[in-house]
Amino acid sequence: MTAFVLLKITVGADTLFLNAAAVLAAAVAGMLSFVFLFRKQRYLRQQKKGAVLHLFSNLVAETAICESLQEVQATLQAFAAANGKLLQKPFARQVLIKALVKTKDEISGSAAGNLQHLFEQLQLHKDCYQRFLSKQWHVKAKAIQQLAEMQQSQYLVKIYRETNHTNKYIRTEAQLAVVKLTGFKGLRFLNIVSHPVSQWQQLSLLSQLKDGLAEEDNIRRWLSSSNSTVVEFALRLTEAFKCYQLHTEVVACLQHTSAVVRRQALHALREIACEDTTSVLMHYFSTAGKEEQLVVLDLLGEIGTGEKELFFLDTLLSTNDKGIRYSASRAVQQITSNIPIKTEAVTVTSSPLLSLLTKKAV
Amino acid sequence: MSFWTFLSDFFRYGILVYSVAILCFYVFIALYSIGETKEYVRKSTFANYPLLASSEHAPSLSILAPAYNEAATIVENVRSLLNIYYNHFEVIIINDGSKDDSLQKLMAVYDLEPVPYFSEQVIATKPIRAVYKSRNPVYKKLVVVDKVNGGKADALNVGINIARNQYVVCIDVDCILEQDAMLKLTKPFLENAEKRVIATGGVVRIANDCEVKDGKIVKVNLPSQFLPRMQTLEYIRAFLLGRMAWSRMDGLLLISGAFGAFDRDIVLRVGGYDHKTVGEDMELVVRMRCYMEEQKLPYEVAYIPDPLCWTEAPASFKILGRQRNRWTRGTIETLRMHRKMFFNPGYRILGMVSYPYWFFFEFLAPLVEFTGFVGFCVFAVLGLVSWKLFFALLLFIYAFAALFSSFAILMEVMTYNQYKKRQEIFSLMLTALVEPLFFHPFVVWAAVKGNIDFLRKKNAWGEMSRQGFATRKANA
Repeated sequence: MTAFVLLKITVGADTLFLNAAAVLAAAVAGMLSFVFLFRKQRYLRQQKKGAVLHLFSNLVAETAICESLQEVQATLQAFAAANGKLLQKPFARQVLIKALVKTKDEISGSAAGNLQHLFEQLQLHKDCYQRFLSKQWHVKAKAIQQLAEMQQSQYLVKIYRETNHTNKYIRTEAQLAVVKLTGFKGLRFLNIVSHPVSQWQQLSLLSQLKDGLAEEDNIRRWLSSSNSTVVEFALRLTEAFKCYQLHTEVVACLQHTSAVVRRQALHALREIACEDTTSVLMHYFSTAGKEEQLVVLDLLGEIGTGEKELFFLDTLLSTNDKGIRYSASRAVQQITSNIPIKTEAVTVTSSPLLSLLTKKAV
Repeated sequence: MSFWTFLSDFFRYGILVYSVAILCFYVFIALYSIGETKEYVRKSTFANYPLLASSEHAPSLSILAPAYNEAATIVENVRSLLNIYYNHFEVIIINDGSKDDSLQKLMAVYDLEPVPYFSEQVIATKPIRAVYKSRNPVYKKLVVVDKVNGGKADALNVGINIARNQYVVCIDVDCILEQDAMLKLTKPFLENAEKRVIATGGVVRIANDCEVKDGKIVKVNLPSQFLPRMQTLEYIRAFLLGRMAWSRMDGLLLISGAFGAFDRDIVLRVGGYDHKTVGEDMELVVRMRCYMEEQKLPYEVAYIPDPLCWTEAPASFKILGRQRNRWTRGTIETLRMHRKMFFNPGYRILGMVSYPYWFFFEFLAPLVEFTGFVGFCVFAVLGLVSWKLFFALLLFIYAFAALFSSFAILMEVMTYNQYKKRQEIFSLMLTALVEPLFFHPFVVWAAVKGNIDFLRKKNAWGEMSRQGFATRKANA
């Protein structure tokens, strides 16, 4: 700041800077006042929301423990008689939607069904649908999330249309919603999705599919998708649902151009390993990059059972690459089992396999 | 035109242009950060973090924490790390040849025994003396490496060599992490399917005077001491405005050494941390970005504006001076090492905007300011100063600085709102008014000394003694 003041500049500059300083000082005062105003407003908003939420919390809790839909109806009528006007206010309805969605996410069974019934009785799905039509992405995405959580299947077609939306958040919420609403069948969006399915989204989708049954024909189709992230997800499905029938297709994925897909294929093979798997892996080893070679060696250690794997590994115990040598010796150790591995094993160069096997024999 | 006239004009107009440019950049940064912050707050409402904590498909992390003479707090700090909210991780504590009894304490409390180890030594480091693991299965995620002293960068490189997971998280062992810090730090690696995320970093906040219990921040308080409070405001400005804007521009050059996650594969490819610089955190990010640019690989350095990590700020001028001196030397070293990027369009935004910004406004600013001050004193003595103009300019710049800080406070209140009490906001505002007068000149002076030390080839970190959270709690 002192750098400015060295020389005389132009006549009148001092007035200009003084005026500018006055404007800035006023802006500082305005901004600091706004900070307190904002805090005050937020406090009042939170108070109002808290009061409404308190009322609705009782309604939600009472509804959840109802034993029949008639009882839900009666609870709602009693609440409406006392708080009828409140239920008409958009702000209050939004608070109620959020409370219902949050509670429904945490419970299951008939209690969850009761909440869904309450949601429908109060026509809250119409509020959500209005927000679904919004042009603002976060409003639309939140509405999709709420409709799916409350199992509003009547909007399935409309939501499905958004599964390839250009906005990432609308698209991912729509994809999650169709899976929430229809289970494994909801994954049919994978046939058409042209955008990448991120790993985060893949984990989210998998968490929704925990209890479902896999449709292997569909997974087979996705394994040959032109969208590499769809292939990656199909491999995760193969792994999670242990689709042994897809072994050939998974092996074919080892030749995929995407390194992520190839690595995922190796993980999938661990779960669906059959008699031929180790032969495939040993054959693949020579063409794979180092990172994949290390995964292959780990896999051989885990699923290898016989001499052919041991002899293959034996050839690697004398390579110059320390990483490969270490992984190979660890794999040998796993296969032969219970032979304690030592650091020295890495540096052994003459007949290491023989040495290990001898130790075991002893 | 005589030499003196030329010098006078250069001084006059050069500094004027420089000052206008820096002010414009600050205004741009403040405005540009708004959109990114708004967007992030909206996006974060859709993130289901517990999903990542419980998923068996979540990526595995290796948390690397170098420790040097941390005996006073090491046991508690390790316990805190082992308790983080994440499933697949290992904690690697690298004892960098501590002269105190850090290792003995760890061995006793965590029942450690030496184990055979394998390290491919992709990155050359000082020798490892031993690797320890616990006999107690409760601590199976803990690995302690004892090595010959080689500095923080060397210790981190040992950790990177030993790490077995795809992502490494480098943290200062005395930092306190938010419970969901790892989830938030990991998410960007999974989110971007089009670009490879090579590093992520979060906001570091000042923990002085905060209440700490069982290795967690239970109550956030504004520091009562002068220097930590000044730094609180400084951090809010830097993290909420500066880094947010750079993140939006995809021009982030720095991920705080206190807490950042990296793609181990890329770190290995570029050769790990450089132990020749004291600004190893910035240098690594710049080198990783350089590598990706040169390889023409699509990539991203992600920034998480949530407060994830709390650290103790220096409370004395002596320690603060050392820290800022080191930061300055680190900046100069990094800029020097990567000077090929300077206005090099081959490095896109990195070469055309980020590097020049750091050169002109981070490295040169304290020097320009100091030179201006010295010049002002000389001219004042010679009677060449227009005092009216001087006071007008002084007021203008002071008001600008206060406005920039006020805006940062506003953003803090509107987003993360860490300081809930009214008097804390008052105090922060007062800090904004006081900071340009007392704190800023000291920081400039420390940076100038950093430049001098750089020219004298001083390469030391400088002792950074801390009070420690555990100690403070015990005293309280």
